[in-house]
Amino acid sequence: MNTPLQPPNTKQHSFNFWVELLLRVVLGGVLLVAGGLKLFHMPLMADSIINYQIMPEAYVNLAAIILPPMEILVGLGLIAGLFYDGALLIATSLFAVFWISVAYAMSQGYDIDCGCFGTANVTRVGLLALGRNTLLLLGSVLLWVLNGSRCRIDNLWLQRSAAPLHESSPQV
Amino acid sequence: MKIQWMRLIFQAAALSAVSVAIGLAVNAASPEPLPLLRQPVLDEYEPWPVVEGEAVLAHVNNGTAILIDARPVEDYQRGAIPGAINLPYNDFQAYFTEMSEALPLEELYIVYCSGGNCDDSHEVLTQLEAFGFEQLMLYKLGWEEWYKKDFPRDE
Repeated sequence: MNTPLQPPNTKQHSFNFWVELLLRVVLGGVLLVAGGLKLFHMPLMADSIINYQIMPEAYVNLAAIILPPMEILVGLGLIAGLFYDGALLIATSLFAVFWISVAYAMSQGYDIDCGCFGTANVTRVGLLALGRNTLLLLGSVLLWVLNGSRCRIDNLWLQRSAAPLHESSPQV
Repeated sequence: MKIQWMRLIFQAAALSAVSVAIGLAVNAASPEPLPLLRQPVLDEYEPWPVVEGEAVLAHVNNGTAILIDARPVEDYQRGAIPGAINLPYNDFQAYFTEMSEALPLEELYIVYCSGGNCDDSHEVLTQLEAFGFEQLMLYKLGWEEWYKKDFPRDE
């Protein structure tokens, strides 16, 4: 017996859409603000990174130079849906690295500034920073699960680039 | 959840490349640009004269300074600079009280710890200064450099 066609669960779709959009704005906003506050304070950023003692000292400056613009670009990418998949991959990796760094510093008993938002908001490494990083990491993982929104700039040129291919396909 | 891997990798690589370009440009335009590769901690300001590994070796060979190992006892017992006295930063008072008669005020003291970012030697130097020692030097790259350079050691 054929099962009757089910109408799409529009309520569920709508809920997922808004949750995804909210998460994108929140996570992207956090990255955008964090990167913006650190972009012109790279020496302070380098000092914050070195305090974690988690990477070779020689490469600390490179990390301090690259991380702030990366946070800004990834934040913009998440919010606007521009290079969205790549932005989400980097965001998830960043949140994972931040989580591991704070957990490592706590396990070593370091009493250091977490360096999360530059000098604007000095939070010591501890449960607050770890909890915040946990939420950010979980949020980014949830975005992978909800990965279905059409509300992205990426979709504009994906649709545009798909059209000529279809039109120029050989006639049978 | 459907992932297009090629697109994912391309986008992540493109974002990373642009981030590197922006970061380098901002750093180059800043009044005090950071060197791309950080030099070891020797260049940073220290309240005590900083001594390098070769000079420490010369002092050890000539017997012209007393070496103080500021690391915890367990680290000291695993290996130390020949002749170094252990005044662990985390139990300084007890060890100093025991050793104080063997530590004349007029001698030159070189204090070291694990190297790199360790602060143990700073704490011990501060304590020694408080007890009236004046000829104090810091071997900043410490045990890490000594070990890497394969200088002689007590093990």
